Amino acid sequence: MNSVALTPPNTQPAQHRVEFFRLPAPGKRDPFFGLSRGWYYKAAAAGEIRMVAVRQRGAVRGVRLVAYDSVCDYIRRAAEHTEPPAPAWTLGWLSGLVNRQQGHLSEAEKNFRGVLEDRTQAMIDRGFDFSLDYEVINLHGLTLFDLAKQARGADRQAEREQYLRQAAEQFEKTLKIDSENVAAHYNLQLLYAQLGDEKRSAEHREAHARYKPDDNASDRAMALARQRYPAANHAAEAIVIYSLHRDGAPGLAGKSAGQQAGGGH
Amino acid sequence: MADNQAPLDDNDEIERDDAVIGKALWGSLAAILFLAVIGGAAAYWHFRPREFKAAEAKPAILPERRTREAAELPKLAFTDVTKESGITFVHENGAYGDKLLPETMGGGCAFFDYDNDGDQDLLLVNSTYWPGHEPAGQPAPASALYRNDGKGHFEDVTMVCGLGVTCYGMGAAVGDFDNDGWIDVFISAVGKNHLFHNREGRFTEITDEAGVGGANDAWSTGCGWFDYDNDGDLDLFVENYLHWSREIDLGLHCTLKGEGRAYCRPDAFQGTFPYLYRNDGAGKFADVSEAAGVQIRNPDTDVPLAKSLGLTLVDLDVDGRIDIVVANDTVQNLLFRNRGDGGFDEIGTLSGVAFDSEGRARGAMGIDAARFRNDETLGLAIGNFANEMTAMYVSQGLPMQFADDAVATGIGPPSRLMLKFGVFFFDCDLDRRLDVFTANGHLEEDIQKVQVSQHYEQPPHLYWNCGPAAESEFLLVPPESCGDDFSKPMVGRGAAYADIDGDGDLDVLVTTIRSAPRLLRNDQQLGRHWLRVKLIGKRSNHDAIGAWVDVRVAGETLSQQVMPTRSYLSQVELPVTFGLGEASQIEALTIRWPDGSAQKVKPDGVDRMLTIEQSTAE
Repeated sequence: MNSVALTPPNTQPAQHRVEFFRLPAPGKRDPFFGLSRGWYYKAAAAGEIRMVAVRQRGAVRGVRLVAYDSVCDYIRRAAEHTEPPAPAWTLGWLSGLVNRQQGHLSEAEKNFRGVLEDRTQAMIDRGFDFSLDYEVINLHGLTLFDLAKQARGADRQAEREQYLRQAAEQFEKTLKIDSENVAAHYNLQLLYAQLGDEKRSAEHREAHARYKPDDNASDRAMALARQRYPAANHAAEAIVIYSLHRDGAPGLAGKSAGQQAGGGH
Repeated sequence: MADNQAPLDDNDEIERDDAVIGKALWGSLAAILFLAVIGGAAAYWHFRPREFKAAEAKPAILPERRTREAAELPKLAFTDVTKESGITFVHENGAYGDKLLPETMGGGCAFFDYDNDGDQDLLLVNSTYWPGHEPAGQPAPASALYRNDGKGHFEDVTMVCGLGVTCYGMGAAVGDFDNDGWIDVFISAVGKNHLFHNREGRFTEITDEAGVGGANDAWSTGCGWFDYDNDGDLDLFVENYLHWSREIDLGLHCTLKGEGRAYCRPDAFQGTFPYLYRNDGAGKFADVSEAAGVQIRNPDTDVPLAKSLGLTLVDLDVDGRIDIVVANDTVQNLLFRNRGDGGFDEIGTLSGVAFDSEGRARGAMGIDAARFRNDETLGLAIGNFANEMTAMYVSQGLPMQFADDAVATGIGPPSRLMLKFGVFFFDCDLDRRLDVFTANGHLEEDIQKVQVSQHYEQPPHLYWNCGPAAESEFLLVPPESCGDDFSKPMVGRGAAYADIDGDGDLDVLVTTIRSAPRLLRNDQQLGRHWLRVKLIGKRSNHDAIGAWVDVRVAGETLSQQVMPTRSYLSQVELPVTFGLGEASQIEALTIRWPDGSAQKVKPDGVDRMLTIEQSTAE
């Protein structure tokens, strides 16, 4: 592996550093950089990052892993790139994520604020307006909330309250764009409670309860579906192997695949 | 009358109608035009292309290489003394290939003084073989009780003492429920649970008479003794994990690599209710779970909500009544506020401990609570699943209002990769600040084949408390500061602490799955002072479980609660240990007993165990 600026500290045993992480599921973002599955595919196709596929011999599906250091490399390269220069918003977003993870909250806050507020000619030319990106707005809010938590003690009470109010403003912005945003409602519940506004805290608590995923209901639905439909049961895991020689497989005579347990599509 | 009316002229009527219609038409057209102009202007205003003033982007503050904090870490030395201490116990989960979920859990342990000789003995809870899969010629695995000689050497006294129970054991709860001065033992299990009465160092099973066996098809996990109704005797709280059966488990196609069976995730099973047993005296208990309000259902579907593993019992709002905090796996955590009338209100969401910072449930395992800043701040640490941070819910000022400070305190990011089980606060270097320990280990032996960053065996973590003024309040201690014996990867599960050798510092035991536990003797040589306090209740329960000890030293007040129920399926020792740093004098020592009384004590020195009996004077 290449040694890069973002390599975790040498104090951790080498075998427990992040070397690879799993490609995020569709619609999700990875926990390290907050990037989407589509972004990784594009970056890998462009040769910007390193991605490997692990699959059993003969298997149709497998698992894709992203090399952590290659993404860190990408950030540094992007920063140094001058022809054309790396987009400021990409640098700001990625740097904010990493700075926040490393506990450099003031720097992360500036990064996210830059993404939300800066208006460069390149952004105008390309029609980008990140001030409406509620993923960034929420992260900005969370970082301000973390800064409030660090402002401890009676002598920092004013500073703490200022951060709390600024964080609340960010989550309110998110709700103007996505009125059912779970993270925004949850954090506003906590923020207003800390600011002493019980009424608004209760409103957002109720909204969070209404919009958050129902863990029990999804568990029950999945369990029932897996018990009832053998094909769904077979396909429920992240990695699934479909035998090419099963009864009913394309090109083979026999029962249809859906009629047997483990039959796939 | 109709005869008095003039006859209608049809042509005249038609001409008048045309004029009206024409007028109306022009009027309508004018109105439509007017509205279209207004609407168009409004639409243009709303959807107009936003005009940005171009500006130079501020240069991004690029992330720097992570460097160790400037704080000077103490030289800690933990030595693996498992073998030399005489512990030969090996955990058995009975795994034979079908990958049944209970095989991944278990590993409870408890430090307690079963024979009242003043040192901490050790109970290790075992699971067993599955029915029909017992290897021929092998004795059935059993839990083990080890007697401490006071110097950290242990002797297996399981059979002599009558604790050789074989069950699919999970956790343990130790407490003197009949106030006879001898600590009794409860073992939670897959299937029936077990209660053993300690009669002067010999144990007798009294599960059925006491009525605490639970359902035969339940899977009980975290458990603990506490006096929730403040009547002077200990009651029992027992968590259940999932609505699990071998048939349901085997009916699910669970795989890690696309072929071969893997352990199913908890979300494939439905939730359960815990048990709350009220001690009615004379060795009898009543199941008051429903009446006390601890059976929580999903508000929409009415199914049982909880999937519980971690348990800690702490008076969060300082009202003299112990509250219950339940760490749940893949569903929201629960906080039961003790109303004081025998009932509880579930306020997990209200108080901010139910979810992560984005409002979602995590895979919570072990839990502990402590006043880790030596002020009114209370922290709730919860070990979560791999790729989720350890939670550090902190209340500041408002006792029942928490927020997850994992990032702000610095404990979150370095904990993310680990799959955390046992979690507890303890002062490992006696510097007056409570540090955090986590036992880590994955569920799947083959996890690295599909997640390269994950390992089945993971090193335990120690987070050193740098103090509230530091930017990063908790700092991960590197192997060179805590020793290779400490950092060697293992499949960690339960974890507990006790001073096994009487030298004043706290030693650590970590259990594993299907392997030997690791006893880590704390060999720190920092020359700091300490005080250990053991309480004996007279009007409160005998071991004063739930009492708070406040020590005023060097201008700050250190507060600890007598509470063995911490971590994951485990129990720590009853005496509380205060690191005093360089201070050799204690300014004040106050006991707040469970019955609400306070007692001031003048210690006659430091570096010693202080045994304090509750005053019977009114």
